[in-house]
Amino acid sequence: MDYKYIETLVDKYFEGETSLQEETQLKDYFTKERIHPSLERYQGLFQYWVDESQVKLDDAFDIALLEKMEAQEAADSSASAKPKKGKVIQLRTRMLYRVAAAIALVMAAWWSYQTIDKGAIEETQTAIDWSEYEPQSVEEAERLLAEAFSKINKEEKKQSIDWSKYEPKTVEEAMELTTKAFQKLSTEVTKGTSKATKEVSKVGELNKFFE
Amino acid sequence: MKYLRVVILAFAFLFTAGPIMAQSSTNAIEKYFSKYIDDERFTVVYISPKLFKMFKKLDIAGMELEDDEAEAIMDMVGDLEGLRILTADEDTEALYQEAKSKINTKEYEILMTVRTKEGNNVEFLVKDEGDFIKELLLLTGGGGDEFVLLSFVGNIDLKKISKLAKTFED
Repeated sequence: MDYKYIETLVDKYFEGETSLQEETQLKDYFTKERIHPSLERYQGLFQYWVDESQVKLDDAFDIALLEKMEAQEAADSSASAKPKKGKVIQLRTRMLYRVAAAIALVMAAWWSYQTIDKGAIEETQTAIDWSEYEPQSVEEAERLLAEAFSKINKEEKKQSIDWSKYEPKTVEEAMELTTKAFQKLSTEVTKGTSKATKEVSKVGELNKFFE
Repeated sequence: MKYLRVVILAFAFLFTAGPIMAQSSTNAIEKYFSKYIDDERFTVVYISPKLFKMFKKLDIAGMELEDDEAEAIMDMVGDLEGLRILTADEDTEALYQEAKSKINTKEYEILMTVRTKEGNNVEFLVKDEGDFIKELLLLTGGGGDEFVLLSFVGNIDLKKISKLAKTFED
């Protein structure tokens, strides 16, 4: 066969455009005929296809396989009296919540264990048993609460100063005192500002010196 | 559900008690110097807004005040919600230092500080809320002078104060 023709066929083959007929031609060429040196590198490939297509299982394999299957079947039938069933655990959502809660609990316990220092542990050991002081009924609780708050309010009133004690008795006196306060305020303001301006002017003089 | 009632009640009390506590000390004297008020060394004066209003009815002519001075005072008084005065004649330097250390400088801003060679200290402090000055404190002491703590509460206008200072200066 013309090797040029085979060459075009090989090109076509690698393009994936050869027909079955053309492929048989290629296989025939590479197995039977003397191969042109330029095509020698493809020989291995086509030889492989041909060789592999010739591989066949012998009867011994079939027999061995069948024997194995029969043995399996026999074993299964003998055990069928007491079937071995897998245990199926359904993890329903509720169960999942329980698991999540358990994990959270363990983590929280670990975390609190990590954060509580020894002093805190001792403290909890000597903690006051508040349940002793718990009111027996809701009505009692309400009453106690109201009492506590009225006490707080009283304290508040006691703390805040009764300024009316310090009010001047007459308006004239008040006016006089207010005037005095304003006078004090204004004299201090003027004193302060005049001092400030004096200092500033001093600084100005200093600046002159440096110029 | 009954316990819920108690809890709600507790919250109700807390919310009513809250504003009372917040209102209780709107001026520096009450906040920092309440212990001085019962102290015998101090003279305490409080002028309420009610008294301020009554000033208008007064016969100003009968007082040793010039017209413009009286006018400036009236102008200032109109904005005030209270004037508290604390004075003492003893240990003025120590009292001044103590008072100064007591005032929370985060709340009260220093407007002006003057210290003379004679050891007289003057400090102006203001507490502002937004653009308004809500309280003006004047604190003086030391150098043989008397210890004075003035607390002006209200809407204080610094321009009016400078105007007042000018009127009294003349």
